Amino acid sequence: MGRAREMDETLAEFIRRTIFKIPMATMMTVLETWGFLSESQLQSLNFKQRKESLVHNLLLLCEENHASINDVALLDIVYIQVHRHQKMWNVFHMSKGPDEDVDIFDMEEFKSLFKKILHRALKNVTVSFRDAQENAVWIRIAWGTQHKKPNQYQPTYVVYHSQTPFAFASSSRLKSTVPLLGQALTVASKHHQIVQMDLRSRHLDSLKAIVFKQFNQTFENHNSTTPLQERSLGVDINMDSRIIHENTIEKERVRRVTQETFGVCPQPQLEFAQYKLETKFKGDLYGGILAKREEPLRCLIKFSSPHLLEALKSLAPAGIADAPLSPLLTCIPNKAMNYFKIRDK
Amino acid sequence: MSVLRPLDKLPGLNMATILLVGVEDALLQQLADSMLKEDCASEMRVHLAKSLPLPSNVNRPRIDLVVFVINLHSKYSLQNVEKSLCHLDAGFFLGKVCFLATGAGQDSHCSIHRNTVRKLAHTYRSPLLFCDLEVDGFRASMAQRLVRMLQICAGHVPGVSALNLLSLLRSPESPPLEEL
Repeated sequence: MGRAREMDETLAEFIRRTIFKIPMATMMTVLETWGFLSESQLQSLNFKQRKESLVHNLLLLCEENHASINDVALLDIVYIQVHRHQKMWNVFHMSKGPDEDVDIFDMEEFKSLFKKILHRALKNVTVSFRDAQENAVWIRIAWGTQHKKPNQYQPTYVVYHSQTPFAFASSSRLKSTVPLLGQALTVASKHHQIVQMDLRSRHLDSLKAIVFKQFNQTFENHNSTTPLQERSLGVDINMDSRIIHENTIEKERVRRVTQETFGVCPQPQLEFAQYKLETKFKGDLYGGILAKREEPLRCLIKFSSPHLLEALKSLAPAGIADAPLSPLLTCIPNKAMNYFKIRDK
Repeated sequence: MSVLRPLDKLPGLNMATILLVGVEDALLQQLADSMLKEDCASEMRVHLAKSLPLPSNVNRPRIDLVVFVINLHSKYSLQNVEKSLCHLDAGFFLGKVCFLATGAGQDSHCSIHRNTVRKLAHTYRSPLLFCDLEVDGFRASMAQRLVRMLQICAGHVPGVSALNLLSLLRSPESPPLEEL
């Protein structure tokens, strides 16, 4: 039996491309979590062969099980759940009106409402849901238009934790979809308003920790403060009696101030913080042209690091900056922002 | 604010004390460790400080040599040294001070020009040494050099004084600093 008759060519292509982007190292985990193929089907696969042949064999198995677009979309969600660092995540904050009561949340109702709103607006759209831990649901939306089939290769992924006012969405090149997505989220979760927060990162779990204020809780729960304290000093305390530290009091102060500002627990992971300055030039050091300008001096300052907050935390103990650091740098987790605009008051 | 003076205390028996001043504690610590590994006939003490003035409530031995460590990657470290210099008695500059600039190896990371530190060292008539303290081998040889200088400054090398050494270290080949 030819495949063309069995399965739509676009679907076959979708399956092929979805499986192809899964790295071999995580292939087995992803397929098992997907749960679409039976145990015996999975065991029949040879993971030592070339990826092309493996993809071909998997395609035949999907055909055998009559895979639908939605099944493959679920596989794509599983893949993104495992490789969530590949996406840049945005955070949306929703709020209720002043006199609105807390409704009883029903996940099934949320899903059907969400789907209905997008379908009504676009007609062509693929919406898939996958429940995850902690009352979270992962949503995958492949966008289409009134006259065009959904594009399965530029989907938006959304993570929504039920009964919270926050939703996390992957950045997409299709900027025009953001308002519609916001609308669907607010209506389905029975909120009133939605705003995109100035908080972005590749580390979804860190974003969650920041907006749900979880990193402070770990601080209260665990009492393993001693090893972290030693580490935060930057250097081991030298036991050689011939080396005398003159500024032990100052060092202790820096350590205390750093601990007060950052806590003792590990920091959430962000990659950058951006500051847009629209302030007038102050100070007479360079004087002249700059000081007299009426217009603000525009500049953009970007701090980036694989682990920005830990880097900031170690600045003062390493002696690179004075303690306490500027509140602009230390307020990132508390304000849940890493994009700032600074203007003259 | 107490000013640190070179000769306000009697020297300890066979004691040589060096004071390393710089913001980056880890670097100073490593340098101190390397210095203590060197063979030295004198009994060596290494004091580490972030900045001057030193806390006045401590009893410390006579300081024989002060080394200001400047990281060329950080303006903050230069400013810290400039501020600290005011708390040092002029008598120290007769050969008992030296500047150590680190980080010149990674040119692209430098935010301080080398001439800036050269001018600083020239202003205070003190030798300037360049060394990448993060490279183990370089640090070890710098430690060796500092130990030798310390012994001279402490007066443990017969026939050479700190002032003697200072005039020896002034190299005639280097361009006159006024031109920099």
